[in-house]
Amino acid sequence: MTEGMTGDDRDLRARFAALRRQEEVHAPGFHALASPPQPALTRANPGRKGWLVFAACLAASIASVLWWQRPIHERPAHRPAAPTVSVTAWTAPTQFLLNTPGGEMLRSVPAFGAGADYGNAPRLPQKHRGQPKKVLPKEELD
Amino acid sequence: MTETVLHEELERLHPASFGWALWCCDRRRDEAEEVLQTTYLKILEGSAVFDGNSSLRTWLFAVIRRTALERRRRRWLRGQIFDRWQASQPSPLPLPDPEASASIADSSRALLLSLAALSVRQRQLLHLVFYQDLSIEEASGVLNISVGTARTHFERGKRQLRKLLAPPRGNPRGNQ
Repeated sequence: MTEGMTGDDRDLRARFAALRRQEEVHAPGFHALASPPQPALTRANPGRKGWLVFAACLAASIASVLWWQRPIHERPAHRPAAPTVSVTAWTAPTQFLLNTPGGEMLRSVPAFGAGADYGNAPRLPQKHRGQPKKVLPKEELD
Repeated sequence: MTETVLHEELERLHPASFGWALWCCDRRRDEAEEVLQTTYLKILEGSAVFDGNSSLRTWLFAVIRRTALERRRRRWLRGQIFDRWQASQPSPLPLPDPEASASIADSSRALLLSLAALSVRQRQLLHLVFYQDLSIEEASGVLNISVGTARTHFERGKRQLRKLLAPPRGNPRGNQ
């Protein structure tokens, strides 16, 4: 590599070599990074922990969704039947406002002959009803 | 390759791997540590298997890069879901971690700031070639791109970096 190298190349190489010497002093120990698998596992733990947290959050969100969906389906079956009111029977709370004085006269039709009290008229005696007619003898008719 | 030999090789490459992981994670130290740990777990548990088609370093760097991309994708998705506003905010210059850069000399800080202005691919290629001493062919293998593309990006990035590191006019001594 050094063959055919210009002066500038040598200068650059010298600069890089100086940088390398300064950095090599502060390089971490090989055994700290390579030998024990335990530190590697502990270093890998944050990532794994992150995945565990993510999985737990996912499971919790799925569970909450299922929890909220369940009552929607089961609500009609579990709830007691509400008292149903017929539409025709229902009256509004403000119904009394429609009751004007004398309104009954407009809503009702007077009965024909209701003024005479026919109900108290004397009736035929019951004994005449259902009795066979008297047949007069022939000689009486003549 | 036996597990013991693999373990020893990983230990030998650990500082370089950390430097590459730091670069793949926009120089966020915590993230780089996690990416590197995940990479080691993948290798030691057998989910990433070295097939011997390339050098172990090239393969290891490719696994680190892929792991960082997966992590970034996950973070982006999380951002899309939980914090769309923040995720939509573009971050044009991934500035170095202030805590990590506190121990870095001014010249290196200027280099980091200049690199932050480059595209991700240019940055990664320059890092792999200059910082990790890989050839452009090896770097293209790590980034899973063709050698021609890698060379183009490397040359453009180098030109841009020189321009950014060049001393301002009227100060021929430079910024060192």
